Amino acid sequence: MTENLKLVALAVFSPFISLLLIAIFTRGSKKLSAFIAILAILVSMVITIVLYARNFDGVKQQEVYYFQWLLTDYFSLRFGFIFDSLSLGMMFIVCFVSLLVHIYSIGYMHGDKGLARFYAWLSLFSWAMLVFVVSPTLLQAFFGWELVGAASFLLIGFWFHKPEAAAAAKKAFVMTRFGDFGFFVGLLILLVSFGNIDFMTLNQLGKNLGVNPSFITATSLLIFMGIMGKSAQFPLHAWLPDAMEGPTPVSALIHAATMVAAGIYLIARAYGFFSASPFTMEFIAVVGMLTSLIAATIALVQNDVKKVMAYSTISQLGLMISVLGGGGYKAGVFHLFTHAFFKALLFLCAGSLIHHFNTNDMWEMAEKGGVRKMKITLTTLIIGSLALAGVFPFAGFFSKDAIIVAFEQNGKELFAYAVMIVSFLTAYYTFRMIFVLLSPEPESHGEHEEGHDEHHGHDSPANMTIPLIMLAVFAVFVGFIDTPWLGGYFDKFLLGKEEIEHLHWGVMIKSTVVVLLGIGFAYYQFGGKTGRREGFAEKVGWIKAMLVNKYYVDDFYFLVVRGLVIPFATVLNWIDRKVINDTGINGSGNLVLYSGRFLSFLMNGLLQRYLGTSIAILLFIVFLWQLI
Amino acid sequence: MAFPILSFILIVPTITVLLILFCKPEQKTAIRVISLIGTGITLLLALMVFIQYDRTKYGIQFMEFIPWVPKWGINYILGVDGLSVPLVLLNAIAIFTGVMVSWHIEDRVKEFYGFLIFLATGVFGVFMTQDLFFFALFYEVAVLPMYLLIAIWGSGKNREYAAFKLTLVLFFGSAFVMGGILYLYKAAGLNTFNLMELKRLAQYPRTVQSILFLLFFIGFGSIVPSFPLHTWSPEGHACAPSAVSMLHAGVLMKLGGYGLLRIAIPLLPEGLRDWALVMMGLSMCNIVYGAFTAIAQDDMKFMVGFSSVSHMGMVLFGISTMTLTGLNGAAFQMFAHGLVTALYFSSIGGMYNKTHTRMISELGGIANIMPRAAFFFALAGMAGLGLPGFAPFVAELLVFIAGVKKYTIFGIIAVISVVVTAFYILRCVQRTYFGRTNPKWEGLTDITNFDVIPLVILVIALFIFGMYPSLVLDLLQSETKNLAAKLGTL
Amino acid sequence: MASSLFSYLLLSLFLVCLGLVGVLIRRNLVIMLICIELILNGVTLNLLAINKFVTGGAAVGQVIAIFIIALAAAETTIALALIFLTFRHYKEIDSEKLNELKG
Repeated sequence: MTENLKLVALAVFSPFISLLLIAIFTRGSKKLSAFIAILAILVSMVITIVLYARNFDGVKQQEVYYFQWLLTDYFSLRFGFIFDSLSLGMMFIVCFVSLLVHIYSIGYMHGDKGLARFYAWLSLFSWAMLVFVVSPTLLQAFFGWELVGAASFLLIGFWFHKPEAAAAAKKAFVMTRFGDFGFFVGLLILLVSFGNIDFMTLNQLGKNLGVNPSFITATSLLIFMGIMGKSAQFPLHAWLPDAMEGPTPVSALIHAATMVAAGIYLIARAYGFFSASPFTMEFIAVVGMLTSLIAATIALVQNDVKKVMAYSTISQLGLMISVLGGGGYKAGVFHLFTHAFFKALLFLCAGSLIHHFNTNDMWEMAEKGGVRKMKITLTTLIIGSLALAGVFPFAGFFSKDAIIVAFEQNGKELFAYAVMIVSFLTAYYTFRMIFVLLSPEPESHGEHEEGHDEHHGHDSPANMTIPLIMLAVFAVFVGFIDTPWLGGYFDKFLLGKEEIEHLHWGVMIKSTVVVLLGIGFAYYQFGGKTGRREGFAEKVGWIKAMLVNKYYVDDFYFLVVRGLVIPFATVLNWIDRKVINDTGINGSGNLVLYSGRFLSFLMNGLLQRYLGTSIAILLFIVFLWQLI
Repeated sequence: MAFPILSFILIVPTITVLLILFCKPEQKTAIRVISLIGTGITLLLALMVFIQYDRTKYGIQFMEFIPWVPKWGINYILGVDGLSVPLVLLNAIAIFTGVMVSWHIEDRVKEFYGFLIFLATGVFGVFMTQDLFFFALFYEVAVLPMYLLIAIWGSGKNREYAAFKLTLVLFFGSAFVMGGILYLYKAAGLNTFNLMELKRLAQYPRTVQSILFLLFFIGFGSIVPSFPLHTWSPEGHACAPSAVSMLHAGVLMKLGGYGLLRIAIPLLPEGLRDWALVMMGLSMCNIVYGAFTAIAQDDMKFMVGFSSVSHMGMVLFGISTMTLTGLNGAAFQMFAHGLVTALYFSSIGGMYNKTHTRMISELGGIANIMPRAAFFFALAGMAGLGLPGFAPFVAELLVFIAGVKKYTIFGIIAVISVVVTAFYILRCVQRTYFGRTNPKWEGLTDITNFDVIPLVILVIALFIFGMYPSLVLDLLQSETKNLAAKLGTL
Repeated sequence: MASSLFSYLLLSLFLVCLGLVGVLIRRNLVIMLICIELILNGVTLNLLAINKFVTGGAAVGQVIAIFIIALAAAETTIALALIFLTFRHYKEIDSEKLNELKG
């Protein structure tokens, strides 16, 4: 085990130890639990920074360490740690966002009676996510994959007394579990065919090991099914918007930056495997783009700030998946990195607003007034929105351009245009939200409730705003690492590429125009005093109905569960009770009973008949004896 | 002669039962404490066996041999091998936690604990004996008290029916087992009930193996329980008091799988080969049908009962693959499922003591007033639906690996149960524990610190064996290897 | 003829059959008891005759016969006592009406 891997192992298990400590000792004390959890994730963060400092130019040689988990027959199921540029980058994101969310939650969750539990689950999540990130085998990836799902369930359902949260938690788990069925089957098929192979071998399967291409297509599609569930791709995306019922820091950490990105990370990790099947790649690209468009259009009509961000998350995840499917490995990973920062930032800003206004609805927030007084929150929210919309020089600009360039380079112009549409929609709905929030306050409101305003005038506490500022810094600057101005640092780090890619001015200009168009359109409809406060998508009745009803996907699932699964179960139950139990089991019992009844006429209680029968039998036996 | 630790595992509970008999019925606390101490000592002994079992040699250890009726080849033989050691530990955990869970029982405490511990003694005997005669004897001892325990201390209006059905089906099965054992004895012609010698020397013709295996399959299948003889199990669970459900689902059901692995497969490998497809088909019914049926249940214990049907189907499915991995999975599933169901039933029992109903539709929001009970049920649910990190995941993984390898399509169908299980467990958690609290339940208090101890013990066990499965799997594998060798699939 | 084995056996057969028929057709417990005594006596006679003519009058046979007579006395006593008790309890000694064992 090399020095690096030892550090990795320490980083992974630090949150786990915190989970155990909180569960065993400090669950009674909120402060202590929070302290332990933050300390643990801080340790992970520091270790990650140390690792990063040691490998500033990327990890040249992938390092792997295995230990045997169990041995059955010819299967040696191994766990271990992997260390390369991809995992280092992901570890950095996970630890960084997690740390900030831990700190942010002190303020956000202040006074909640389940704070110790909250921090325990956060530690559980961080541990599980890190286990997933450093997994060298598909099996361990599945292990972490399921555990983050469980942590997500627990955290979405953290306020379990709210029926919506309880329903959302269940929906999230069951729906991702449905996807995981595919993942599990794919994993099992790979396990029985090749043993417990690591990602390095997995990536070689198609190219160098000459495995049947249709086999790879089948298994990779099965595994992609799991990714569709976890990364919320159409049609398994419906759980993510509902998951916003959870506490907002959780949404930022799990449902924006890390867990939902696990699918993208998995594709990147097993890129050789997926790219060995052209059909799978095509499928991934199409599903991703479809998801992206669908989610972006739904986001146009959402009024809940968190729902807007949730759909935008789905949309951005769709872009990443699509570009990975389209052959743009670097673009997908790069967007994953930048997106993690600005989307976490947006969610934490939303949390700050929600904490302040006690509502999720952007119109209500605007009505209550005072958004402009929350200077830090507002500034960082606008920074995040600019990054999400992709305005130069914010992070999203560079990664989105990388996506468009990747599509163009791989000869998929159609997809490139689709990305343009998505980025127009993104800019539009993001700034729709901003302009609604900034809408001028009603005159009377401000005067009338002067005292009230003063009370509302302050910003959120420092433990909430500092994470915002830190994320905002990243959201502004992290995009530059992929530019020639920093020597193409990201290429060098991730791919070890030395030559510097030049800038694609054409794409940059085109995308800037599109984005500014979107923002301008949003301003025209929602901004200032002249905006009509009605979006273009809301003007046509049936389109609005379709979007508000989220393309009826939820209704479809409702129908399947209520109309198919539960009746099926009821029928089976009826069969079990009536046919198998009452007819089969009780029936055979009754058969014995009635045959007994039938024979009981011999048992008539008449002494002499008993005697007569026995004598007759005796005589019969004697008679038989005589015959012999 | 070394310290006869295995005999002590039998003697300690027996003495406990005797001591309980000497108590006056009014001395309830004394009886409870005696039971706790007795089962606690047994648990320590079982742990000692688990730890001291020599993992470099394997095979049968701690052997005790006393001739009983030499003329007929009956000997009192105790000995544990890799297969028995984990199950002995499981049983010790189940009875120890069971005693703690039944602390609240006030009705005929003396008789209750007497029967409960008597039952556990029988199960210990089955797991430890290496003589077929004693196997049959202990088997009956284990099955018999169940009737009284359910009929007297159970709940629900048709508890007598449930107890009656359970006992009849189990005796129906044990008749087949008994016949099979006698036939084994006779057909071997060695004039011995000694299982080890039979394994070494007995030769059975193919047709005899086939017939005998069918007998054992029906007999042990009824207690596993295999479809379509499973209907006693949900009903029996639902009506039994918590501790009895725990022992029943946690341990008693395992006698079936254990019997198959201990007697039927090593002696009759050809028989398994003949019947494997039938077994696989029935286990499919168990796994998928049981899981779907569980969705429709309103009584939580019925739901868990059907989930047991589904999960015990995994045991049969694993066996029917006839591969080492499948057998490992089956054996591990017995162990893991025992812990999970014990946790299920004890957490449901903790809640039921307060609410006096288990109907999902009547409950709701229980987590607000009983966070602990809710937490442990949710934990059991998470373990039960195969979350990595808990023991059942390992078992299911092994069974599925073997299943997909041997019967590709059916293996994949079995995996469907993973989704369905998640659905019904979480649906139950959502509707029972989450949400707003029904005003009817306001004012109830959470389970006490004492009630939490057994739950914590079970959780720790689930977690340890889930994170570090080799602890048990290496033991099981030392035995299943021999089985796979006999089946010719090693 | 008069003292041959056959005539004794014939008599004992007659007694046994008489007893059997009596037990089977009469419904009064006392009469049934008397008939049982008849069977017993027939069997005793049979035993003694065989003892005399087949084994040549060994003492064992006679001892057994005396034993049977003694037992019969005891048995009759118990049976009569039972019949008394039955009568006292049920006010009835008709065997047809004493059918509580009917299944």
